[in-house]
Amino acid sequence: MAAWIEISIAALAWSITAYKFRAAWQARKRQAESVTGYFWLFTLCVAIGMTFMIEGAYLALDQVTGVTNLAWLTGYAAFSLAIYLITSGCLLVLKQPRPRLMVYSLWVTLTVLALVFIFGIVSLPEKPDHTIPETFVELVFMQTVYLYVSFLCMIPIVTFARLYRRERVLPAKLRWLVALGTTVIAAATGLLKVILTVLTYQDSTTPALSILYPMISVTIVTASVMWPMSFLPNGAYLALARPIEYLDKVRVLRELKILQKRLNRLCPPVIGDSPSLWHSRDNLDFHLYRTLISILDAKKMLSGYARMTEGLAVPPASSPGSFRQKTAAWSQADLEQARLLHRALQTVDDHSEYPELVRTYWRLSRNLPLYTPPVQAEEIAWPHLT
Amino acid sequence: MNIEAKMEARLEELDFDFNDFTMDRFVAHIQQITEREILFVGWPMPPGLYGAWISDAEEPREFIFYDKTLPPLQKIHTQLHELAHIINEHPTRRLSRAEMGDILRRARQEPDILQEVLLRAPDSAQCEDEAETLAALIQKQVIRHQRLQQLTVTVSSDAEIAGHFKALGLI
Repeated sequence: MAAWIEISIAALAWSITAYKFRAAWQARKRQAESVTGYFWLFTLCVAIGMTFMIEGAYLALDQVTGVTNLAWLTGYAAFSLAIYLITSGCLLVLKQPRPRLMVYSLWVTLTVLALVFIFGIVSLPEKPDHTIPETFVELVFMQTVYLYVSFLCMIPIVTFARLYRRERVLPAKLRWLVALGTTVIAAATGLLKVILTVLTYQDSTTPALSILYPMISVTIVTASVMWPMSFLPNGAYLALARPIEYLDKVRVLRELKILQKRLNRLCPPVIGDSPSLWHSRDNLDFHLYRTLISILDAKKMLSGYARMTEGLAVPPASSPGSFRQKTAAWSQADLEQARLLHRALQTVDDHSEYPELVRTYWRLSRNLPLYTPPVQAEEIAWPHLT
Repeated sequence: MNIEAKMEARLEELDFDFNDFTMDRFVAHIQQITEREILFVGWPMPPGLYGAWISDAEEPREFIFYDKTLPPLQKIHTQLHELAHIINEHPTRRLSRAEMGDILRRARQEPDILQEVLLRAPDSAQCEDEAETLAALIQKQVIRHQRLQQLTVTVSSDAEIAGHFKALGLI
């Protein structure tokens, strides 16, 4: 990976650590164990790990301390701790106890890393590039951390997926999606590294290197850019959510208007004016509301007719419509359509909250089959109200 | 002037603060302006009827009937629609206490009576258009203010998650 990329992602990690320091400090004063504390320590460990991926920083630490490849051990320990801390934070969010196995696995990982370092890595020449393991100890050293990171990533993946599913506010949903994407990519990076180190240890000229190495570089850069995005202020996610919400509303209004049109043919609305989707574009909330009210009005009318005619077994005795506006008499096809719509509308609980109602009628309209009238549908004559 | 512009102007004249809209506050405001008491009465109604407004001929009182089976959202809309008739000073049926009592007694047995009374009430499609437009404009204000509030305060549907976001300094 190019040095400028490594420096950039390390700088990004340090800026997030510095930016969130105050929040972490305040949280620490309130309680010893907090989600904020875990997340901040995670950013700190990632920043340390990223720093020692830079060759200059790697060699500088080793030179200052006089311990060969100490930066390698520091980087790996930092990444192991980072994944442990983010997992602990996730478990705290979900109010679940930390499994003992998780604590043991961290100690086992750190102990293996320390032992392999003391008895092998420290006596090797300086090695800031960790793409290819040349000795067995290097392979063990690398596999230990990659396997640990890959497997422990599963807990944050499940947590973020769960938080994403149960979240109803779009900006927060997008934040969880970014966090989920980051952890999936981090786990994928770990697994690709596991495969690459095994293959390159067996054959350092394996063709897999030319495929896997660029893939790993891409996943590292992507994850490094994505994780700081999880810590962006809410305003950024609100701005990101706005066009998505707008398009979603257009999609929902379009579908609701189809249902409204089908109902208005049978039950005329209180006022006939129903602007097109294009004319509704500047005020979607308002038109969504109006369309929903029109659907509810028609539902009440159909329910009333159904009560009077034993579930629309026969057409209503008076011409359909509100008492001020009437439609033309229903044909047999209209009656079939009315039955179909009435049955479907009855499945909706209108006591839900407004956003839920909009969603439910949108789904209903999408799943409602189109009624195809018979070729020779007989017109039924109705006495008009005079 | 088209109906929407006319109703926008009427809404402006009301000088009501929609930042903290509740139906009770809005009704109290209209009562104060019109100097008439407004009473809401849930009533069984025929399929094509959602609400009705009848004025008391003897006391400064307005009766707004609404279909008691309506779900909450439609109930509020119907009440706003009838209030919009009052705000617009549309003509309506004026009944004495005795007439009102008689109609309500009969309507309890036969809801269609209410429809007959209203069909005799002076009405025009324009009045309905105006009332529906004003009711929708009121809701537009409510939705807009709720939306603005949502944009500033809604962080997560889970209060605890919102707390974590706040602690992390994300809000």
